Amino acid sequence: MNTWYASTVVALSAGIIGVFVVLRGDSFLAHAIPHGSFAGAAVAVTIGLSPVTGMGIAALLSALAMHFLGKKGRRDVVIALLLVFLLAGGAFMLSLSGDYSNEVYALLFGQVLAVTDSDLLTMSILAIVAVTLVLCMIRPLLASSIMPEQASVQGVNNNLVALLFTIVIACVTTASVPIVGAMLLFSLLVAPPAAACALARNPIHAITLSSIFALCCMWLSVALSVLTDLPIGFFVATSSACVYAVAKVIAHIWKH
Amino acid sequence: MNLLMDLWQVQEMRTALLVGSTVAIATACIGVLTVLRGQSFAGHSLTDLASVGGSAAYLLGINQLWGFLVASVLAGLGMHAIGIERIRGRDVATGIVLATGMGFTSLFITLSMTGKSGGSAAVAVLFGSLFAINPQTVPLICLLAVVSIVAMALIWRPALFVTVSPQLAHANGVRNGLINAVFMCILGIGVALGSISVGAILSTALLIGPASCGLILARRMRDAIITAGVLGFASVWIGVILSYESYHWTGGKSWSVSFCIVALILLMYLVCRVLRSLGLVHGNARRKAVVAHV
Repeated sequence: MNTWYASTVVALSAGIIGVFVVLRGDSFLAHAIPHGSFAGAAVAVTIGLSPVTGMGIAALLSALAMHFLGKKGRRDVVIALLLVFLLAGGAFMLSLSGDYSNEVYALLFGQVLAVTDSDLLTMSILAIVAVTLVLCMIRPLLASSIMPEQASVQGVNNNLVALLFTIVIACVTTASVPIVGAMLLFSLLVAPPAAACALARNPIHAITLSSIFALCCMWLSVALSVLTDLPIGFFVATSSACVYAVAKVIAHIWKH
Repeated sequence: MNLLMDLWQVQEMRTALLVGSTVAIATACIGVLTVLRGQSFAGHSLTDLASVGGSAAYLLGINQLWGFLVASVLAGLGMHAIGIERIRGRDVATGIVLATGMGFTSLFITLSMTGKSGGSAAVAVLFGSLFAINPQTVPLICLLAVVSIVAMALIWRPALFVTVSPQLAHANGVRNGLINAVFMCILGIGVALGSISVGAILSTALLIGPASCGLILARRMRDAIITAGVLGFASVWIGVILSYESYHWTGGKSWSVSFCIVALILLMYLVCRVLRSLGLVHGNARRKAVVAHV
């Protein structure tokens, strides 16, 4: 039961936030923050805290670091270097705590069957916070994602919006990484929303469609993963890539 | 000096230092152009796609270098074909291809795990270790490094021109498409070399880190490449020695060599950023290149 509930929470929040990730062109950021949370979970496991706490703190810190370091210099270079350092640091912390290869594997590729009740509560709260935050600032967020210059003329603080949105990604990451794993949360954050953006005519449609797509992918993947005993991340990645491909083809047909 | 002599006696250390230094120099040269072209995300995607090849090779029991090489060169050419490189990672298609690749990596790793205990395959492919390199692959690694450096030298001038000003280069008769395709191949080789030494998902560090330090510090493009090479070389050597010596300090639990190298590279980059914001260095290699060509 916990698994189904948790995967629903992950799919819905990732589906909603993902639309903005795609609109803003923040794919690399969405790819990098989950890796930061990997390091946090590793530290937490080593010093005996709950992995979710460690993930939350680390995701937040790495999100802030990427935001502030990336402002002046070349953003992609900063993200790439931090990402790799966090991954290596996570693996290193786990290696200090002894038998580490299983832990690395679970955190990177997800372990959907091992969700406890308290994890579930933390996750749901984080997901709700993230979604509420996005819904509260939906107008400035949309404006600054699509037309940053015009938005700033109209009094939107683009910098603040970017910072808040980075924090939102950190919340969603913390909620999702225990389920789908650090490496594959990314596919849920990008592929279903991209498919929805290809099909929808306005942002509200896009958000609805993208949550539906994400939910379908997620439930299908959980079922397949339980049936076949293969990693859930594999099914999440392939099913969401298929959704994207189909959506692209449909959008192409509509155009002509 | 004594320390170095001791280290040289150990077979694994010799291999690690030899491979590490060759790879560091080759990737630094390739990295300078990668950073200039704003292709860090493309480079990083290539490393993730290379790990598909690496894990497949692990599953089939072939030498991992071949897996990395084939997968990353193919992926590089594929990206070139879709035209991803120009959009600088903003395109979601990059992300989706990348995520699908990671999905397959996890599948291959699971398949090769059955029967054995734990995810040691995941660790071997993704995080790698310089100490675990088979000495027989050293000639091949050196050959690949030389090939990529020579190829870089051959396409250097037109490639820099295309990077700085694509339209002007085209007007001057440079074949942009061809140059970009060749560069993606070289980047693929560089990624494969990095993957074999620090592990697939960490090789981005060797590619991007020293190169962006070089671009911050140096005043001219040639100096930037030399600085990048020297810094990459230094980070590998210090990393290897740290990792080897940590065995004595920590009582039997040595620090992973990949972690030491990656941490050193990040540290170097942060120091360079601090130096620049204090106004102590004025690296304007990028601007010089623009002025020279336009």
